[in-house]
Amino acid sequence: MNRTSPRGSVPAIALALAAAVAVTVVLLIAGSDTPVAAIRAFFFGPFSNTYYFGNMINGVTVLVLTGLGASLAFRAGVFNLGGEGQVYTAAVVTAVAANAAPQLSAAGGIAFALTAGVVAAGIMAGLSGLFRFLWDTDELITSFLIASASIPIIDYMIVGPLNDPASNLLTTPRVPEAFRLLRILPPSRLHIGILLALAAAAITFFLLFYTVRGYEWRLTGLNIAFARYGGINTGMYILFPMLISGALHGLAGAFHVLGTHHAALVGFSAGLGWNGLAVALIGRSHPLGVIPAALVFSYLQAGSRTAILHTEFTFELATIIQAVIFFIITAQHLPRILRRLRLKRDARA
Amino acid sequence: MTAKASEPPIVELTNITKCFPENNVWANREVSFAIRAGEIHALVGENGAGKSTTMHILSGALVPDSGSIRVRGVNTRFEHPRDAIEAGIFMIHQHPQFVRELRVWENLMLGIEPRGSFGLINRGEAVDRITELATRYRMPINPKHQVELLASSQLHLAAILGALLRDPQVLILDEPTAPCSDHEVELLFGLLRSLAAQGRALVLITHKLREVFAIADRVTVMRHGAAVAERLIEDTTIEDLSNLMIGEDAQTDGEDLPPTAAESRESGSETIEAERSPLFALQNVSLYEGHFPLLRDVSLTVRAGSIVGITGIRENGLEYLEEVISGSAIPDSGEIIIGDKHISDFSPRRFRQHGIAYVPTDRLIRGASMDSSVQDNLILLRRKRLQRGGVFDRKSLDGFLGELKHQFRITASLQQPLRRLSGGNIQKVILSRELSTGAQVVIFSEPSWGLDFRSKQFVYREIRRLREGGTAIILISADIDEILGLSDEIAVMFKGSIAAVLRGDARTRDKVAEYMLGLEHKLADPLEEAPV
Amino acid sequence: MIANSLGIMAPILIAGLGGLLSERAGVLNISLEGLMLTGAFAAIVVTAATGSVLLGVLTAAVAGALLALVFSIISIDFGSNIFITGLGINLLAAGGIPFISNQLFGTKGVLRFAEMPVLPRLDLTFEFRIPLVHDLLFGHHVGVYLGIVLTVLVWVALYRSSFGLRVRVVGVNPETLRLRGLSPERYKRIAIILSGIGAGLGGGLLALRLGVYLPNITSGRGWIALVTIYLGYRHPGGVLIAAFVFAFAETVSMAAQGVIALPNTVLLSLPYVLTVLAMVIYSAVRHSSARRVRYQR
Repeated sequence: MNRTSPRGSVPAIALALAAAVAVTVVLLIAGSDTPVAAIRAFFFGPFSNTYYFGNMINGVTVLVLTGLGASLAFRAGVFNLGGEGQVYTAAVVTAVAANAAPQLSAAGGIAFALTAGVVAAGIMAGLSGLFRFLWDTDELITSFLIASASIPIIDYMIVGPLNDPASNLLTTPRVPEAFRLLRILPPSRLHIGILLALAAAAITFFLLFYTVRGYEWRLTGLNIAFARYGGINTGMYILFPMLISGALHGLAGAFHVLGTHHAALVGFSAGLGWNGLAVALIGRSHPLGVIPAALVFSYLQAGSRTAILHTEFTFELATIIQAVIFFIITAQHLPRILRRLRLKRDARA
Repeated sequence: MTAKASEPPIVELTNITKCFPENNVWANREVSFAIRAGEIHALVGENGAGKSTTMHILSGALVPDSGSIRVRGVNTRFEHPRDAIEAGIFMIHQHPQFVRELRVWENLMLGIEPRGSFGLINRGEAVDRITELATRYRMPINPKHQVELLASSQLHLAAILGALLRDPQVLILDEPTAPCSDHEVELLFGLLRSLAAQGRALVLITHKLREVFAIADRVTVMRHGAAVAERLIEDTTIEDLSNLMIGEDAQTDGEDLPPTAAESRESGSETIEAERSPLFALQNVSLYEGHFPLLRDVSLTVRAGSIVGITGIRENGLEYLEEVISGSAIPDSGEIIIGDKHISDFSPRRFRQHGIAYVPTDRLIRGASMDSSVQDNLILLRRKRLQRGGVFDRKSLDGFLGELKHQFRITASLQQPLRRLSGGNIQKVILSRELSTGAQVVIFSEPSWGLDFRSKQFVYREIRRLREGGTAIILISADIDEILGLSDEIAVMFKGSIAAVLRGDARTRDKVAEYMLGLEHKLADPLEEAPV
Repeated sequence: MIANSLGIMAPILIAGLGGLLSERAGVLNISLEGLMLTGAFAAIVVTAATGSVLLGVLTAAVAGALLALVFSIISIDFGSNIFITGLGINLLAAGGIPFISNQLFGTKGVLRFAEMPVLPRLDLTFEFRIPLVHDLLFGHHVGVYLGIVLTVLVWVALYRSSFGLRVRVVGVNPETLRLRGLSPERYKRIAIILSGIGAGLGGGLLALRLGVYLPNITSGRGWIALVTIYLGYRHPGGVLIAAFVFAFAETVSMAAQGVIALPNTVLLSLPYVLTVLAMVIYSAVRHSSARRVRYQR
């Protein structure tokens, strides 16, 4: 794996994508009574109107942020498996904060609510970093456990004390209108959070590869003993990556509330943490690699949504397609396998 | 033990070619090579000459691009080490592949575990078979020990035992003497001779020419991926071989000769030494593991412009001394003084801040980040000087790297990962980084391990240059030649203590060896017994 | 309460033991959840069709093994990232099971069959019995006994058989195995398949104990099984203890429902909280006591 640049893996990824498209087509044909319509809805549906298109791009926002969060932890050699709980917690905290201070100005309220969510998720993940730093407690497990512990509690809060009696959904009350992020492509849910997410990727890229701290961060991840002998304060690069990874997940949760749904729905974050990890791995843990990975991922989800809405294509089939794409998208031996198949065919011919 | 030349070879490699596409290196070009029963065949050449690649191909670990392998006259193809092992060929790698967490017997029996009831491993038989073999060849190996507890020289012996359990007809050893003291080398060579006497064929990869003459029957020289010559040992000389190894061009450079004890050093330097300022000192430093002393009352003073060599047989405290003077282990008692400061706060980071540079034994972990680029490895210690407001400054970065490349003649591309470099070039990168700060005190631990002739000369030249420039140097090494050739003072360690500090004319091979083995310790140091 | 804990523990333990084998072979199998779900579905379907619990349990193991085989082909032969492959397997199970269920039974939801046999309990009656001891030892469903037997078996396999030795080596340094003339891929593959068998069995037992298949019946137990591997310090005995700790915490939180004025859902987080506390305290204590030579960070 080329760690400094994702460019070297572009041909392999292109091949994997081509294979993924081929497999998707096969599955769509096999699993649908109206295959042509399903294929059209799946591949072109996301571009058919601004609503679908905007929502697809909006999906990128969350994926870029969670993918960045996972990547930054990977780069420092730590693991944050608690993404889902962090997104969820941040969303609720943001919603509560926004509703608690309706008197603030728009900018002030947004800043306050965002900060509250980001800090909450940062602390949640940072706790695992702290335990690892202090006592060498495996952060991979504690982050997962802490997040798993938080989910039922948040569930309860949304259903119980924080529930919006006005809504027939299990959700918190909607945040004050003044605090909602600007929508870019109405009627879709796309909001300016996408710009901030892209900016976050660019900033992360710059910090990681052009600054001394970023250098120390990467070096600690690649060889902690070496970093220590080089005089780097490696303890810091256990604690902070977890904190910041959590904060980025928090930002994703906060954007969901302030930009996408304007409230925290029960269970909305299911699977988000894993998706973030998948995006990070597909993007080779590179801050800029995360963007195309998130795009592909979001396109896939959007395609499934339109195919389900417009044809008798089912949610189950969409899940299976996503599984199969996961199988091939990081397949390193794919070129070799294809070459071998071709050799066999040539030999037979 | 010279074999009859008429006897047909057990194994013949013909026109073996291997290219590594990732760094575009022809590791082997049309290499042909024959191995005969009962013969010890040395394979010599500089690092990167292709010796290991050839032997990896012969042992099935690598598949050649072209060429043929014939075993007892039959053409074979080795796709996997399994195929070579079945053909009776076994290789012991330079860093024997052991799993540290496991016991010795588990490592050695891996793949050939004796089965007992219910198909489970018969541990008794496994241990007995190893013990029996170890006793027969007088190897001090306890199969029940944890591998972690073994010294690296013992690892090589254990690896040989593991090979013998498979009863190979061809045994390949890659630099088996690198971690050994002279004494251990003798033990090893005795073993190799008896193995050859049993009719086995042995291939010894090395770049120590002295060893070739001490043990080999035949020698093949490799250079730039090709086998350039094959000689019977009685038909060649050291000069002949070194000419073949490095080519004629390098010969005129008189400075490049290896240092020897005979090399004269300007006399009278000792008189000035006492006046030079001490830059680094240990005072009565002890280190314990539980109640077991790892280091006892170690005192040392290193002055500006001088080299203190520390030597000893492994397991006598050298490695712990390295831990203490690099700031990794906190001594249980005693003082460390850097410059004129008494150190109370121990960490590699603090030691760095006090101006100590450190070239560790463990190069690939402590000394370098193999997955980082050459550039990232070089800038480590200067990172804070190459930035403005926390951001790397392109200009000072380029300036610094250019200077380093020029001064240390680094030819590798700065952006490629360090992993792609040869061992010699990796050490060059480490050295140039450590010396880039102009540290007042430099610790070298086994600086020439596994390096070829040229890289070794580079390292020695740099150490001498530093000494001339007034740096205080600590050289930890188990290689007596290196210690004798470079040191102004030699501290010999025995059982965790400094048995003697040898200065001036006392710095002889015999004296060092005696103290190393603890012989002189008892005889010449009556104070040891006396009450204090 | 102990008895109840043991009942909850068994499926987690068995899946954890399977996961332990693949973990020791260097493969972090995050698809235990999906494998368990598959086992649960297969067990219910086959038990209902054949009326045999034994056949159901065996099918659960086979189904887990087959899905794990897919995992091994994709991760080893295709060279896909193990983590993403694991996520993919989970998705495949999450999408595939309702799909198949819909084809077979016309529903994607709950599968309940009339006259379905449930997991038998081991009940022995003696003339003289010490009440407490008897309750502790007997009367549990067979999964509990199977779990304990498997713990011992996995221990023997890992530490006393050549297979286990090779698995342990492949997890630390696959190249070592290769240079000794063995195939690292082979041992990885077998270990992955064994993890599928363990998780499939665990899922099967979970479902057969209830006698019904519910969507998301595993509700995170596969993930918990994964956690027990690390919590148990990658040792079969440790997995047993960790699985019990987790099950006990769950039992406690269920029992607490009547006592503490906390809502049901919040108590669901108690096992996680207790486990994380246990883990942090354990590492803190270990960290301060076990220092040989003092090394600096």
